[in-house]
Amino acid sequence: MLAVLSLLGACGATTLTVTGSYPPPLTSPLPLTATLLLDPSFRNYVATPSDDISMKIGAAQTRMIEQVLRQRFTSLTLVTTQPETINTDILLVASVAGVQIGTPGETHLGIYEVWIKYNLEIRDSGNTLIAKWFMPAYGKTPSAFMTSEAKAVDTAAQVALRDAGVRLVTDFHRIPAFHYWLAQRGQDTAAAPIISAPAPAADDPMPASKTGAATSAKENTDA
Amino acid sequence: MRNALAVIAYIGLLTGCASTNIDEYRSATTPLQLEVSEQMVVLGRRDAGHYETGVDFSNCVGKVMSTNSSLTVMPELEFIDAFYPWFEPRVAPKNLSRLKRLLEEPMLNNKLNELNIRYMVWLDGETHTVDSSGSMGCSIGPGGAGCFGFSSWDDESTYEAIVWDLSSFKEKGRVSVDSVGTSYVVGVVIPLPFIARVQNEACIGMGKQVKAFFDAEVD
Repeated sequence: MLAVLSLLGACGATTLTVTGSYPPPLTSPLPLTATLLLDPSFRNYVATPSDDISMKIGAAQTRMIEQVLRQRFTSLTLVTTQPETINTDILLVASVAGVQIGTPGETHLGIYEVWIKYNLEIRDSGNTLIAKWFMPAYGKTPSAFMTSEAKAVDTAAQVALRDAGVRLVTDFHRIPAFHYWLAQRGQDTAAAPIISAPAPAADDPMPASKTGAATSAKENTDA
Repeated sequence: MRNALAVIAYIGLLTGCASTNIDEYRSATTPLQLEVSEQMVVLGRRDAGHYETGVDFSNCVGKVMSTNSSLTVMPELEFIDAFYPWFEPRVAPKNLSRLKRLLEEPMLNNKLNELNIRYMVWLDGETHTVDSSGSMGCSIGPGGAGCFGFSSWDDESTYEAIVWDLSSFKEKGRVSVDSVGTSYVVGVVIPLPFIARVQNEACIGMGKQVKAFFDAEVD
């Protein structure tokens, strides 16, 4: 009877809450003050990437983005509604453009995958749009052998959220329109750790095929 | 029945094991030194699209290296969190010149000095099933349930370790491990698995060989 019930259960929908703690990034702040607008739809976001999977991702993504951006600016003010006046250098408005998953049954890759696509608007203190950044993040599980589908999707989503944090640290200040705006203000972003892609040294002991000199340039610049 | 089980167990003992080949390259013949106050970290590569080196494997190698030795191995996830986000798959340095450039950033260099990490061991590889055969059927009915049949599969572990010295930014050596083994499941009412612990064998072989780079054995 238990076996039959468990089989029936396996056919049901998977509902999960994405968990995980997200470490503060090791980075220098940009010379800016910022207001971060995360509205209730972001904070309570529930993704339904397929008919039978529902992911409560709002709390985890709020923790992640707050943690990362708090280290990215000299000060960060959190708001949940559009402020009447912006008392900081910039206003950031984050929203989720979509969430997709790939399961072993669909992709035959033997792993669970999660893509989270964010839109990040950057506005100046006069609420004029400086840049709109489409920021996809990706996470996967080491293998399909997890204790449950919920656990696997949670694990992949946590990796995707950490990947989003990477992009906020390494790519945020390189958004062309935002970079140009900073340059116009005469503010140098060199204070923040910027990992460009140096050419491999001549005495580099690792073969080019292993180091992927060409791909290392790509990995820090592409979306 | 007892004899039948003994035969099956005997077959399992014969076949449920793995064979392992280890190759190494060292840049010098003298043992590497790790002071008591210093530590090292074992990290897995996770940037490939179709596989990644599991945390369980890198933790296992780290455990083998620190067992009965003077080596202090920092847990991988603790290291990755301490340096977040610079060792995440998207941006983790793939060569020494890039690592050197990364650690020129004062914040990262200070963190490295604070943790006193001297060596970094990068692991790259995976364990996967290369072949399988046989079949097993399980059925349930009013009179009971049972599984009958025989199936087997071959697992292969292929890993490479690269040892980086962070004081000189030189590569100190490499170890490659190939481990293969065949696992069986025999269905005689209940399924009896005879699992070859291929990844575990690769981990032990890798850990011992990398440990042999260091003057670290403790009696």
